[in-house]
Amino acid sequence: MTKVTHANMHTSANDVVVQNLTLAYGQNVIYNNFSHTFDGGKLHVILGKSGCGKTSLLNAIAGFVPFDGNVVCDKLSYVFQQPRLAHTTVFNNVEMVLFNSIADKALRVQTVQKFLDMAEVGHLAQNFATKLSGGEQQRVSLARAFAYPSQVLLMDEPFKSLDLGIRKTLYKTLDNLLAQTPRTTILVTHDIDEALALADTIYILQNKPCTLTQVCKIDTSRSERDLYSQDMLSLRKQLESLL
Amino acid sequence: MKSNLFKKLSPIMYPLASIAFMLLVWHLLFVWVGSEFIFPSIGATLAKLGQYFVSGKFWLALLATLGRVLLCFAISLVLAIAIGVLTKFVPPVGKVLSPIIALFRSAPTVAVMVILILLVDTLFTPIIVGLLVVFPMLYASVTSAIDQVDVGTLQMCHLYNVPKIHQFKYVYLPTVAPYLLGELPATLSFTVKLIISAEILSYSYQSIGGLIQSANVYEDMASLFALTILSVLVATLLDVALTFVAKRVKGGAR
Repeated sequence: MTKVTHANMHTSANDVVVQNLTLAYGQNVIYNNFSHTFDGGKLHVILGKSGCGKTSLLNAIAGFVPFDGNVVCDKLSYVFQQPRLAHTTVFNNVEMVLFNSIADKALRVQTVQKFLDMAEVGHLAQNFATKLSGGEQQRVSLARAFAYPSQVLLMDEPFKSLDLGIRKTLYKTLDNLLAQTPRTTILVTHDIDEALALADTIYILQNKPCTLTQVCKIDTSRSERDLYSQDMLSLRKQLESLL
Repeated sequence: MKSNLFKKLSPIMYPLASIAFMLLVWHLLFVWVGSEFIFPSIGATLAKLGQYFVSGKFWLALLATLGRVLLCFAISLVLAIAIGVLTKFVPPVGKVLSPIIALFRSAPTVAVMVILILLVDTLFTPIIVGLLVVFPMLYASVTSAIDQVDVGTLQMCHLYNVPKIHQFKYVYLPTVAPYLLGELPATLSFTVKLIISAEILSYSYQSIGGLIQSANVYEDMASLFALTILSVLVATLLDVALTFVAKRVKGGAR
């Protein structure tokens, strides 16, 4: 029986609690009695090979797929692999997620513009969203996710199809957005460099049914992180050996 | 130089060549049949066309037929959009409607006309027949256009609590409108043919179909040919006009 509870009272400090998750596609059991608590306010990166069940976990948390068990989390935003933008302007794409939370038009307009500026696409507000480049579209998707009044952010390989240069600028944008409007973030990826650049905690997802192994916590702030330091290089080796 | 001139003229040249070919075949058939009463000449048909153009009765008939066409088309379109959208948001409505629409689609048009002639005023028979045929066509277009809407985008709307009205405005309409606008011109010119056929069978007073029926009764072949050409012209003009409007709307949407 699927149960996704979106309520503050069940979680402490915006934790995301997954309890006894069992999820299968036909005979293919992806999760069997899987339980884990993702601490509030942190950026958790789940590393795993393609098709290992990373997206299924996010989709279960978001309530997109039927499963047995419980998921307890606050209101959430989702940055999808494909930005899933509507065929309208950048501004409208962000505004449409605020109609139910901000009734006052002036305040809504101000909020949309603020988050577009934070995502560095404020100057594109009146452009047609689906005509933008992949990187710009993902920035709009980030602005939408952060503008929405949520406490939890799910990210499904959001930078996968982008080239390295654009990815790096987007890491910075994500870091800035999280610094200004913190939320519990679960990001899934197969890219070790991305995990090292962004994570507060890194997990490895493996086996069938899936199990989650916590590999490490990174205490250095993202802006001060040197991916070529000895610690990071040895962590990188460790992750490569596990994947 | 030559090829540039050819390119410029080609949009006109090909249709003109096609018309010239048809006129040639017409003339050859006329010579072969050898009787103005059985197969009228181009000249006699053009003379009849001229007579119609200066006749008030003809213009009234044309206006009445156009009125029926546009009314039937507009009602069918509004109903198709309203019910198509309703079935998307309230799926049981679609399930209830599905057999009814299938019945409309499969019922022989002429049989429906005969039944309606007995039950309804002949002024309205063509409109009702048109509705029974055109509405299911447009409804099918609307529902298949709605099915083109990206499931992922709808999932995003659900997650972010996007109000239904804004889902309609920003997600459904931009997907459905271009698809539907592409289908409308052909459906409108089909409606012209259908309404005129229904007018002929139902002996509608003051209509192009009515004029065709009386030409048939008097075995006035030149009039029959002239009215057929006029029907084709009306259908083509409406098709071209709606295609133009559709292009403008699509361009505006972008």
